[in-house]
Amino acid sequence: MTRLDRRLALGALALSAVIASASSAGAQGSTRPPAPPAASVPAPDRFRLVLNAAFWPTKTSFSDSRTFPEYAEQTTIHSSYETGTGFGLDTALQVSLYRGLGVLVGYSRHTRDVAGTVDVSRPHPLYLNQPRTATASLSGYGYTEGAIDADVAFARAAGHLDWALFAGATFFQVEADMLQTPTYDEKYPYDTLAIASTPSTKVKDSPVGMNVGGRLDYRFGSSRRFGIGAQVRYSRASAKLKATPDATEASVDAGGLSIGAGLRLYF
Amino acid sequence: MALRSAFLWVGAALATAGPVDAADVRVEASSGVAVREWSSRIDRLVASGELVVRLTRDDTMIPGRRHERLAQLHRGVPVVGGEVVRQSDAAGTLTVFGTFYDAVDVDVTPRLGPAEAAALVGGKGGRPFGRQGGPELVVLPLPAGGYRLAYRIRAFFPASFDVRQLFLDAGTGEVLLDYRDIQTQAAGLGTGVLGDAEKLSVAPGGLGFTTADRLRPPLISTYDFRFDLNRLLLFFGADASPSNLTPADLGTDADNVWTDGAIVDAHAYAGFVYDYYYKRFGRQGLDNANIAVHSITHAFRREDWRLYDIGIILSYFANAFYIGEGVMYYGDGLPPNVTLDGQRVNYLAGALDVVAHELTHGVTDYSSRLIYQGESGALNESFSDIMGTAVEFYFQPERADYLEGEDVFTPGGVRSLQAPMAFGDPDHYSIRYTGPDDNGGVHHNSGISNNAFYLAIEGGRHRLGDSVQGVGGAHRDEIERVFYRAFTSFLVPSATFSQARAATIQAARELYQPGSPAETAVIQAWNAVGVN
Repeated sequence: MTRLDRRLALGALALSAVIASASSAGAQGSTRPPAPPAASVPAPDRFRLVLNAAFWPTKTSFSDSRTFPEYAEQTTIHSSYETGTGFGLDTALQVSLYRGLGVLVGYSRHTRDVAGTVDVSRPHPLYLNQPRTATASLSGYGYTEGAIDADVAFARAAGHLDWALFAGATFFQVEADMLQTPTYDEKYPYDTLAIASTPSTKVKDSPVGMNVGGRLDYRFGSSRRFGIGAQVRYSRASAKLKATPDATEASVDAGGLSIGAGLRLYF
Repeated sequence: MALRSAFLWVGAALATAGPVDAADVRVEASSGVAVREWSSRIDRLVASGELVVRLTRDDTMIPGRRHERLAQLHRGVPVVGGEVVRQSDAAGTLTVFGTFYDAVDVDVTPRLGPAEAAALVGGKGGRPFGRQGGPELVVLPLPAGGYRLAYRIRAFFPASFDVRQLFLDAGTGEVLLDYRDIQTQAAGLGTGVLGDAEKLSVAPGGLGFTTADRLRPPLISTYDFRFDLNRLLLFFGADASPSNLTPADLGTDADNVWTDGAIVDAHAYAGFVYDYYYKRFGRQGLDNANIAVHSITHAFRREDWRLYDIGIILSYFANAFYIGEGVMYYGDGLPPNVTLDGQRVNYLAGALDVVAHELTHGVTDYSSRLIYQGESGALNESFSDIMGTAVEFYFQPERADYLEGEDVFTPGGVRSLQAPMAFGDPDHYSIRYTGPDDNGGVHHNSGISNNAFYLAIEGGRHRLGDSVQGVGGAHRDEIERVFYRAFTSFLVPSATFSQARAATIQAARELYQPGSPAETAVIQAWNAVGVN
């Protein structure tokens, strides 16, 4: 998660708390006459604006390998990666068109740290059939995923509660740091190999997948224009990442389960 | 003139001391007293200018030790064969090996000038050759006793393509000593292509790739003279200095898939030999300072052998030799349908033990400088055979043996460390060759120490009955280290078999402790071959 993402997410949570607090204070501390019963004021529910801080609890792993000629033989590099859990933002605008049925357009973005290892088998520069091997950890790598959701949504309100179900297509933007070409510490007599650095390159793909999820909100006050809520979404697509021209494609499961909570605006 | 050649062996481990014969006083000490006395004497001799430090090296096998080689001078003139080697650590001197000539009283003012000496050699068809060509004014100890002021000249004789070491009396021009100074692999005839797959470290160039290895610490270059005899003559005519080898002489290949077997093996095996010395002993090249290695191939077209006399064939076709200053020459052998003494001779560079043998002459050149004549010459040859075999076991264990040159001199090779008598070479000191041929039998008497090396590893019963408990093939590295240490750190130019025995025993004790299997094997092996 980037610093910006973290600030936005924390801001969203703080804002959610402030709005909830303000809504509660307005209801209890006003000197104006009591508001009419909630049932008498139809809740504004044509548009729902959703702003979540979201958590992606599932980890994903992927790997690639490459073989290329070096020192008159073949060097093989096998890299494996595993992402951590993700944290980010999830926003959506839902429009009810007919009896709660409508469309939802959302955007989410999250980042994850990536840990990995690289295993290298590199020929001896002086002797045939005497490859040297080395292993190193991959650190400082990151994974960022953006997703645009285009869903069919169904929403209902009942008192202070508001819930929705949605499903549709997701357009992912996956960007991962992957191993470029390691550098080595080796010196005469070259019988051992040590990996000196593991520079990364940013690799992108934009697969299309699906998502399905639901939301349960609590709307505050008499106007019920604001609320807070929780959301669960599962999305899925397969991204193909190719770090270098001679590398195999790494197949990455984009999306996964996300759990969010945040603010709601109804209008 | 009284001659006192003091052959020193001073070490804390030996138990007796005393003269061996009237001319050579062999010193063996059981305490550190003799060591300290000789160390003090060396310091005094250095202060008086009678010894000068020629070389100082850190010990690559036992950390913290140093080896000094000190050459003897008489009024500023080098005494041939006079040299001592002092081993020390932080606590002081540990051993002293060497030969120091006492009571040298030669007048060092020559009647002849160096130019006149060179002219005398020129009259014989030779000319000073290489950076060590001379003429150099020296004091020459004579075999019959006494000393003579002489010019040492290493000369190339174009007519016979020969390189010789001559010592001319500096007063009369008389030739006092003359021996061939091409340190050779013995000749034969062979055939066949080995077909080994080798990896070459080469350099990309404008038209493809060239045989210049820059991956190893020293530059290792292999040259293709493209059967241009004039190129060889030009090279020899320019003192055979590596600076006269040009990039245009390098082996080339357009697609980096090399098919010229002689170039492939010369290049790959020169690297192997460097690697062996580094990995086994920590030695950095021939001079232990990463001198570049240059290998010359394809000087003579093997099919042209009929155009040359037997001397040229034996030297330049069916032979390989170390020229000096890191330069190697590899003959192309003879056509497959030609045999010499019943053997066919393939490209000399095709045998790893031959390459290692010749390059080891370079190691000797930069360490003990064993004089290439008599017993020291036999030890010189033997050390090359031993290291040739050791390198073969290291890099080609699947086909290694104790034969020398068997891959290119077929069938059979040219010498055997296991059974020297199979090639007519002595395997016992009592039957050593004492005639004048072959520089006093350097390629024959090498069989004695060769067999000692073999027995120290493999053990067994010597032909004459003595049994040896060898360390076994799994521990061959121990005996290799013992011989390397002795031959490069303890022996001096005039060393004898007896000194080689003492030096190897000392090395075994230092590396593996007294009473160790290695020490026992070395002692029993020398006993078995009659060297005491």
